[in-house]
Formats: sequence, structure tokens, C-alpha cells
Amino acid sequence: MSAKVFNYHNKQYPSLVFGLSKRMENDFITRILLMSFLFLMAVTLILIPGYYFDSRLLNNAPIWAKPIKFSMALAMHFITLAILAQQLERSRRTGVLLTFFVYLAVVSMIFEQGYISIQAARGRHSHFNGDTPFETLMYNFMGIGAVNLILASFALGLLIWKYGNKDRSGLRLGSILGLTIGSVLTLIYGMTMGNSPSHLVGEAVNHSTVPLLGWSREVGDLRIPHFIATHMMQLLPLLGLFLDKLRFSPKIIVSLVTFIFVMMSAIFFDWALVGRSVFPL
Amino acid sequence: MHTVLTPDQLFTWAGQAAFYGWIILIFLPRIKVILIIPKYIIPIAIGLMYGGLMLAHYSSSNGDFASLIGVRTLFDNDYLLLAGWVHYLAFDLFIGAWIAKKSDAIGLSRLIQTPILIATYMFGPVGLFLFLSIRVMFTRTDFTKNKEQTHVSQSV
Repeated sequence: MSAKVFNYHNKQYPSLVFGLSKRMENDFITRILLMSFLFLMAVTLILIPGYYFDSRLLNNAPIWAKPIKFSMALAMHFITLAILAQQLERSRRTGVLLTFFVYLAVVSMIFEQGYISIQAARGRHSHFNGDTPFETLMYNFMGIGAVNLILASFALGLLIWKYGNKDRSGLRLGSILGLTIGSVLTLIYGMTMGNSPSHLVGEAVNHSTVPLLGWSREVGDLRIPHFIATHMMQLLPLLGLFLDKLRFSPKIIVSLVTFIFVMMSAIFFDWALVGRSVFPL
Repeated sequence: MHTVLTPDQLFTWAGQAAFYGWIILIFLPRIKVILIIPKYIIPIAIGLMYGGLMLAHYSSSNGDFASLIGVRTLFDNDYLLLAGWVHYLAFDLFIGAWIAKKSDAIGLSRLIQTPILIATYMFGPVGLFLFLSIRVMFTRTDFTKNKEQTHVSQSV
């Protein structure tokens, strides 16, 4: 019954242009993850004119910078999940466990992206906003949503570890390490940030920031360790895949790079907590 | 027998009709007899209302479509303002129903259809843009090919 409501009979659907989906299976989990990616890319595109038309600032940044950053990061998250989930057998990928976490992640993604965009349009903060009871409640929901997004990648990492094709490929090693360690670290850094009054530690004076990424160059910025931890999920599998292509033994290199990322994020996390900038002026 | 409806009353009716159409699109299963309501019945009904309003009031207004000031003059008349509004309602709903149908055809989850449909309801072209930029990434070639092949093999 539920299968019918969500339109998942075993029907043949059109595939992506230029054979982009040739290496992907056509099951409903791969499909919803790919669709989430395409949806978020479309959202990014529609927000760009807003960025140029709207002259309002929030936290000394253009008001639409945050929704754009989130839609791009979430798009990367979902395409990563879609590609890496191909390492599982179809029955495992469409099993109860991953289906549950993937749906939870998609619902949370729609909620997070929607709320962040609506708050930007209203010129209000989405995170760190306790001005009204409603916004406080929504901020708490956003925390839950963020955990849901991480749960999907963590579950996928564990599933690949336990049920994936047990070869010695760099892709497998990178996927497992990236998804599990990246998720756990993101959760730790994210929750610390969520329980702080702001993503900045210290009093910014001239609001000098790193171009594009918007990190502070004066005071501690908790978003930097979060960024490293989250994007480990893309970088480590990519590194593994790259080493497979070059026919290098991935074991040592992938482990070493994982260690470097973990240490980097931990050190920057420590710096951020004591109010020290990673990119000082 | 001749009663004149106020623009307020017509506004409420049209708004309610469109709202129910969107509820059907977002929540109800995609069965032909149900989908026909938002796709054809409500837009046609609102279309008739629009026609009546425009035929009755357009020529008596000094406004036109040639400039922003002309359009503003047009909308000084409450009946024409209402006509302009129901124009949005009818077209947005029809586009929404088209998006729903085409989304099902490419296998877009109802979960992701929901924000696209809400965007179309609230800010028409934004939702249309979202859907079109997703759909442009899909091809129909292998889908139709398979259909043709089965057809040929059956006839032989």
C-alpha cells in the first residue's frame, strides 16, 4: 500500500541524459537520492538571482549566501549517498534499514532547506535564533533534522562495511572511513556548535572573512571543523577511487589521509573553541 | 433573477476552488478521475469566471497591457484586479497538475514533488523552474524504444 502511495511500482522510468545513470541501478532508493540531488541543484539555480537582486545583509553576509551554501552542500551529500550506495546489493540497498534512514534524510533535507530559505527571505536568522517561541522550536527541529541527515550517511557507511563487496579497493575503504568517521565527527562538531550561542567564538570587529566560504579571519569559527568532517564523506571515497585507477595500494594512503583529516578537524575545533582563527589576518 | 456577485465573494470562491485543487495534487493518489479535477475542471471553471469578468469590464477601463502604468490603471477596477488574480490561480493550478503528471512519469517521489508543488502554488514560475530544471536531466528515448519493441514483437 505504502509502495503505491509513493509511486514505486516496478515500472520502467526514463534514465538520466548522456547515460549519467548507466552505472546506477534503477531502484527507488537510488532514484530518490538522485532526485534529491537534482532538486537541490535546481534550488541552488533559482536562489542565485535572489543573491544578485537582494541587497540585504545578515551577519555581514549577503542574505541568500546561506541558503545557497546549504543547497550546494546538501546536493553533494545526496549525490555521494546515491553513488556510494551502489556498492551494496540491490536487496540490501532497498532493505528496511536504509529505506528508513534515506526517507528520514530526504524529509529532513526538505525541511532544512525550506526553513533556511524562508527565514532568509524574511531577513531572519534560522540557526541560533531564540527571538520568538516559534523560531526557538524550529531551531530545535533543525538540530534533529541535521542529525537525521548524518544518520543516513552513518548507516550507509556501516552497511557498506558489513554487507558491501568485501574487496581491498580504495573506494570501499574510503567510503567506510569517510561515511562513518565523517558522520561521527560532524555530529560532535555540529552539536557543540548547536549548543553555542553562535558559530563564532569571540567578538568580531571588522568582520574580515575568507572569500566564498565566509569563515572568520579574526575569531574562532566552529564551522571550519564541521566543514572538514562533513566533506571527508566526499573526499575519502574520491581519493580511494583515484588510487584504484592508478593501481596504488590504497590501504596506507587512505588511512593516513583519514588520520590527517581527523587531526586537522580536531585541531581547528580546539582553536575555534579558544577563539583562535585558522586564517589569521 | 439577476443577482450581481461582489468581487469579494468571487475572490473567496475562486481561492477556495484553487486551494482544494492544490490539496488534491499534493495529497491524493494520482488516479485519472481525481486528477481531472485540478487539471481540467477547476481551471475551466476559473477560466469561465475570468472570461466573464474581462468581457464585462475590460473595455470600460482606461488601462491597457502596454505599460506598467496602464496595468496599474487596469487594476484600479476591483473586477479587473480580481480577473488578474484568478488568472494566476487558474494557470498555476493547471501548471501544477502538469508538473504532477510529468513528475510521476519520470518517477519523481511524491515527497520531493511536494515542495515543488507548494512553490508553484505560492510563486508559480519558481516551482515551474524547479521542475523543468530537474526534468531536463532525463531522456525518454529508452522508455519509448522498449514500448515500440514489445509492440512489434506482439504483432509478429
